[in-house]
This record gives sequence, structure tokens and C-alpha cells, in this order.
Amino acid sequence: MNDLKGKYNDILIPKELDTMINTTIQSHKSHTKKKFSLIASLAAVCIFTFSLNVSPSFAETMHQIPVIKNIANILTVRSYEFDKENIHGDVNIPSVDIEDKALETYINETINNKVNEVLVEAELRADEYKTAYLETGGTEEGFAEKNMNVSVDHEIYLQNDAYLSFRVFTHETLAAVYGENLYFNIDLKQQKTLALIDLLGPDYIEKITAVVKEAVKQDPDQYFDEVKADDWQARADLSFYLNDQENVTVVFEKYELASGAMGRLEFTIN
Amino acid sequence: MLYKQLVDHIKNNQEKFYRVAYSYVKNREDALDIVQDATYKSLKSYKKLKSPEYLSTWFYRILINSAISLIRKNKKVTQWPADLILQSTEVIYLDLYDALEVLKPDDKTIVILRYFEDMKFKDIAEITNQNISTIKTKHTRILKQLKEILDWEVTSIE
Repeated sequence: MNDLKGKYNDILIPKELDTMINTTIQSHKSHTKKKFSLIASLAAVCIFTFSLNVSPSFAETMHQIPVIKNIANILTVRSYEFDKENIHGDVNIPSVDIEDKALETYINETINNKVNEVLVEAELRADEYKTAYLETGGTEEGFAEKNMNVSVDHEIYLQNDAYLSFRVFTHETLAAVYGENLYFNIDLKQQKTLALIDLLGPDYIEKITAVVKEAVKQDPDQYFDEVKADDWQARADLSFYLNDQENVTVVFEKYELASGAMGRLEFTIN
Repeated sequence: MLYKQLVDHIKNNQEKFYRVAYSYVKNREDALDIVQDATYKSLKSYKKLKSPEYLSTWFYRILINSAISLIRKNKKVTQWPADLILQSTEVIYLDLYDALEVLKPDDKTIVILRYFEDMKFKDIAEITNQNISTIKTKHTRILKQLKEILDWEVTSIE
């Protein structure tokens, strides 16, 4: 009856299984530790509160009790690699776990769909490129040296009780200039996605324009002429993230304000 | 320490658990979710475990419940009634692993544990919290179902 197992034994074990299990175990350990320190903190608060009525000196020490930090574990990271015939892929993306399940699903599905889309297209491009490369006299070795790669990675800007802000970005050897950036800015208290208008008010475009104009004044040679024009205004649909000071940082695309060498320009609005 | 034993048990058998999970859902993302879910739940409730000798059975139970919960939640796996399969000439089931598709989640459990994990009926009964004769009866029914699809000879139960 051994051949019954057939494909069962051939089931491919993904590289991320090990990472995922370790992360789950680690998270549980730190969650448990935090739970104990939370209980200790609460007990400490109770003792102090009770003592307030007993001795005046305790009232002074009240404001020194540290704020109890958020113990929820919101982000898990999935990492895996794969090798297709003509391209190597690296994926390192976050998965979100928050109260509002509809929002959670939206975020995670957006990320996963983007990953799939990017990987499929990258593989197609690599295959087509290889065919063209070989047809025009290239060799297999020559192609192999190119190390075709596609990656999806992420960067977390801010994670606290109130906010979660991160981006997912893609890179592909054959399409470096088409690298994509997806920004996610979540208000954890209200369980919703944040827009610039929420954070900067209805006159957000004016505010952003003012900050950019100030930077241009400081260093005019770096920027394109059109940015220096009186009627230039920042785009309403700019990407942005929240930095670790909880300040809005807007991101312009390459070539939007200055030459490509300047990269994607960022401005923090205080 | 029970906690350490549990952690070791999971890490030493993680690939096996993944294969079991995968057999239910046949896709990587769901299989990983199932294993992660089972890992998380077992760590949260390991104090309920009476003694280390029940560790393996207990974890399998959590794993299988996670798999079946996910299936119910997603309703991604379509259970084709066996007679519908017979009428369709395009569907070819090459082996037992493929034929899992036609089984209900509870029946999948019996096949996965018996034929892929080589367990005795006694162990399957413990893990699924049913009595052994129920398991054997279900198993006979499953074999008949599979016989039609895979064109097997039904041999003895044991």
C-alpha cells in the first residue's frame, strides 16, 4: 500500500513554514511576558490608587507610572523565496491582524493580489526576455549571469497604539523603473484607512504645496522649472506615510519635481 | 517541562503537520494558516494537556479541527458527490491523494491519518473523539466510494 502515498510525500514544504512557526512561538512567548507585565502594572496602579487616599506623597508618584503599552500583535511577516526557470523571487510581506475584519481582509488581499500580479508579470517578462536574448545570439550562461530577480518587500514606518503605517514595494531586474509602492496608513483606534484630508485638514493641498515651495526656495537648482511657477500645486492623490513622530510625510514619484537621479522626493508636514 | 515538549514536538514534526494540512486544502497559503492556527491554539491551551503521553494525539486533534474550521469558513473545497464524479468522464483521479477531493472533511481525516500517516484505527478514534467501530464503519464506506472512483479492489479492512 506504499504507492498510495504517492504525491503526499512529494508535497513541497515552503521555506516560510519554519519562519512562520518560529514567529508564532516567539510571539506567544512575548505576548505571555507582556501579559504578565500588564498584570503587574495594573496591580501597581491599584496599589498606588489605593495609597492615594492614605498618604499625600503617593499622589506625587502617580504621574511617574509608565503608560501601559499596547499588547496586541498586529503584524506578522511572511518570507519566502522561489526559483522559476528564468527568474528568482523574494517575497517579504506583512500580514495584518486587526479588529475590523473587513479592513483587515482588504489590506491583506490588496497586498497578496499585488504580490501575485507582480510575480506573474515578472516571470512572463523574464521568459520573453530570455527567448529574445537567445534568438539574438545570447548564450544560456550569459543569461544566467544576469540573475533575473523580482522582489516584494516592505518597510514599517510607524506602529503604535494609534497608528500603523507601512509600505509594500516591488523591484524587478527587467523593470527597475516600474517598481511599485503601496502605502498603508491605518487608524487603529477608529479601525479605518487614513487619507491626507483626515490628517492635514481640508486645506491639505495648500499645506503640502507650502512645504514643497519652501524646500524649492532653499535649493532651486535641484528642481524643475514648473515647480517654481506661481500656480504650481501639489497633487491631491499623493502617497504618504506617518513617520515615527506621527507626522505626515508625502512622497512624490521620480521625475515629478526633479530629475530621476533625485529619486522619490519626500516632504514631512509638521 | 510540558511547554518545551510541545514546542519541540511542533518543530520536529512541522513538515508532517504541513502535509496533513495541505492534504485538506491543496494550497500553500491555507495549509500554512492551518499549521499556524494549530500552533497558536496549542501554545495557548497547553495547560489543559493532562500528561505528555497525550501530546501527539492532542496536537493532531487541534490540527485537524483547524483544517476543518478553515474549510468550513472558506467553503473553498467543493465536495463532489461520488455519483456525480462517475458521470463525468473528464475527471481523472490518478491516486488516493487526488481522490481526497471527493471526500467530506471528516472522511478526509480518516484517509489522511490511516493511509498517509499510517495510524491504527485506535489512534484515529482517539484523535477524532469517536469510538473505534464508528471509525471502521466510516472507513468501509469510504473505501467503497473510493473503489468506484479509483477502480480499486476492496480488500480486507485491517
